[in-house]
Amino acid sequence: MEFWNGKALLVDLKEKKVEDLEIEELISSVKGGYEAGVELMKRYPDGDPMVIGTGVYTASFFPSGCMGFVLWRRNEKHFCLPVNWFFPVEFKLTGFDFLIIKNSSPSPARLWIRDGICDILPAEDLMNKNVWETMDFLKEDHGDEKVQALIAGNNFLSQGYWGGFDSIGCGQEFKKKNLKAVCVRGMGSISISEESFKKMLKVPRGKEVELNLSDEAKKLIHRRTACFNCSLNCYPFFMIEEDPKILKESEKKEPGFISLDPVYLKDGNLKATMEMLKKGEHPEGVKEEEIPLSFLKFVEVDIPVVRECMNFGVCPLFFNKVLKGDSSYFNF
Amino acid sequence: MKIKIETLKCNACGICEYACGYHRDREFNAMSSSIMLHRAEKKNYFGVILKREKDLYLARPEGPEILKPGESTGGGASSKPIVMREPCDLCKGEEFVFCVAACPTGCVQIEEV
Repeated sequence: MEFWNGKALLVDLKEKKVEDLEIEELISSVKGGYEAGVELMKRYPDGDPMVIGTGVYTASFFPSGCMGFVLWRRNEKHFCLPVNWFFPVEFKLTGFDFLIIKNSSPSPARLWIRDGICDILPAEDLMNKNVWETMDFLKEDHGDEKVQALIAGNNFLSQGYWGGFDSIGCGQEFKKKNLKAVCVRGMGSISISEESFKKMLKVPRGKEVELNLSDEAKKLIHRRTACFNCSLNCYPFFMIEEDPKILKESEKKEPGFISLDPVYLKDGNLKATMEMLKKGEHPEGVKEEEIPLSFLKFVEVDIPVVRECMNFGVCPLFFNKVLKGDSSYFNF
Repeated sequence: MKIKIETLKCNACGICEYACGYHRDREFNAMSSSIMLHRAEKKNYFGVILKREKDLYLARPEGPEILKPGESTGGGASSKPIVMREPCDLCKGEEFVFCVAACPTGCVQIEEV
């Protein structure tokens, strides 16, 4: 089916069982990924489920088609953590559109998903490693620089090295499940018709966004970078242990950082920010918000628009700034 | 006509790989692409590698480098090394060059020669 694999992966950490689910019928009956994720939470209610999902245009030529999400419940309340950068694209290219994780592992575990396969691997050795050490280990262990991971840090879930928007306790849910990381590498294919391909290339792209940073912080910006297939370049890399003008590859192991959530940068102490990212700590702790407020501030839209964008796998900031909130662009 | 890469315009978004893959396979897939994003993520070092008919064009941020067959890129491991892939054919048979059309920053361009 166009834009989807039509498959979900159901992982039971307690029983150490992995099952493929055919979900073409489910996908056809809903508007997009967010609604499908909510429906999967209803269909598989046992074992404290968590759903990691993608949207219609996640992993496609639709500009900013980089988005995914994590859904879970806590105290009868529903939570949604938007995920950007490259994890959702790599995940969808593993051959699955959704991952349902139920129950807790009896011992520390991690998931390794690629090529339509999921392994539940031991993670005892990772429990004392920080986020950056864990990401280094995963890249080396799986032998590929392009692997992406969601990693449980001290109090939040980190999207690879660069943090993310989890001020609502997703990392703690990982910890309850005794799950250190979900690691993915996508080498599969998604079906896209030639007509859709050409239409997607005609969607407006937009330009680099302005950054709200101090002059001091601006002086430390190396090259700016973006999420998958996006032109907004939201993410400056702060080169704090090296000359920011360097163009060749730094010989320093950890010369600087990117922070996916700008809230880390508000006090201007970049060295402290880098240390928080390594540890996997969110400066705002854990709140009871359905969608993190810092994400809503970053993308400058409200919750219904975020849900709509999660349906389609498109960045809400891009939808707001470039597409001017016009959802007719989603019609293919 | 040839591909020209202005590496400092690259933002590492990665879409060029999939555009090239679409030319090869008519699917969203980067495994057969002739163009590859190279990224050392923790150092923010990134550029593009293009496999051409007779060489590899390494569009490094500090300046381009051309490698002949048998020379090493010095890059990390890859699931499908670029040397095993088909060289760029400038999207022969297509209406336009896909990686150039898909690049959102103008990093990958066409140069008339």
